Amino acid sequence: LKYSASLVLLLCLSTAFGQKLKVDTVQVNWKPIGIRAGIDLIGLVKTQVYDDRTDLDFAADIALNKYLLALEGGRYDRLYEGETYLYEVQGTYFRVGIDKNFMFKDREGTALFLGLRHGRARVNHQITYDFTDRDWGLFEGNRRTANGLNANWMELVAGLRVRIYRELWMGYTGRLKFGLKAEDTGGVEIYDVPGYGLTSENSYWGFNYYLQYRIPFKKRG
Amino acid sequence: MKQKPHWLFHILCIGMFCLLATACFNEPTCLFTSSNQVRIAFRKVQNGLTDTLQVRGVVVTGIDSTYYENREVTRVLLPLNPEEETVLFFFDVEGEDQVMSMLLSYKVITRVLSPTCGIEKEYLDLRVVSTNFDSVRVINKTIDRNIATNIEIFR
Repeated sequence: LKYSASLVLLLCLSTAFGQKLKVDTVQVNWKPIGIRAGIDLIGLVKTQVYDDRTDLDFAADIALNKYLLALEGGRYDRLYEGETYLYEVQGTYFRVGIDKNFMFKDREGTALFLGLRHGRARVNHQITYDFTDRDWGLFEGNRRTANGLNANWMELVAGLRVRIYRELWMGYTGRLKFGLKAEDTGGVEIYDVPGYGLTSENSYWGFNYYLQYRIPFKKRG
Repeated sequence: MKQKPHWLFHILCIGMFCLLATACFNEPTCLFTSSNQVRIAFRKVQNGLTDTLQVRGVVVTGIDSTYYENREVTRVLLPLNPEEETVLFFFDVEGEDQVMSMLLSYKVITRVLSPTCGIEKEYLDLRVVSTNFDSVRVINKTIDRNIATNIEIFR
């Protein structure tokens, strides 16, 4: 009986081990099928409509099985004008990160994703202002400038990409931006960080609506 | 046969609608908290209690007018220069052989509060560079309306 029990146990273990081996040997296809790249339509419209800003945001991604490697970047210039001041910010930024695609089995390549980004911006800014103080009087035409400042932040992103026609894709990315660290030198605080938004906000919402084109690495079957 | 749009296309449209619906901006509240008035309190060097001074006047270099002329004071509020990073005060106090002075240094940060609120200046890192008072102590390095004392002068 003892011998039989040991034999059954051995059989069970070998079956389980065999199954595990079988699982381990399942091939995961990490081969990318193409690169998707495009422009944010919201920023493009804002650039066209408003005279005081340039807001160009580009996004590209490569699907690797259930993950998307994302690289985004852009240029942002904006002029804020008040009664007594002019504030100009100019800069470039990029964001890198990874998304998990919850629709990776979709044959079309549709993406419904959740991910993380690290953002970094290079900022040049300048303020020209008049300032009146009760004791010191009026200071006219003051100017403070600082160039080459760095800012870093993180983002939680969620979004969707849908193929609309052939290799043309559309979709949006919602962003929760947080953990901003911005360099401050030159006696003026950065007001608006390219790619992030207002520095007065500890966390910031962002939304992009991308029109993208996918360059396939192989032709559709 | 006409193909029905993919259900994800509807989500795409809903996303666009949400964007338009939520495309609003928060109106900022113009809350100016910073100040350029440095708060100086006088204390007795023996016991740290409040000291009362008979002042003939306090002069801030760069400003023509004299502050606290012929006044009895226990504390004074004096303005930092918004466009410089140092300021020199002269205290003409009765009972002192000489005019007392104090040179302060600080950092000024200019910031836009919001397009409608305009700009404000923040004064940080206050230091006493030199003085001929017996003893001085910086209590708070930031100038703020809510701070009672920045510097204590012991006589």
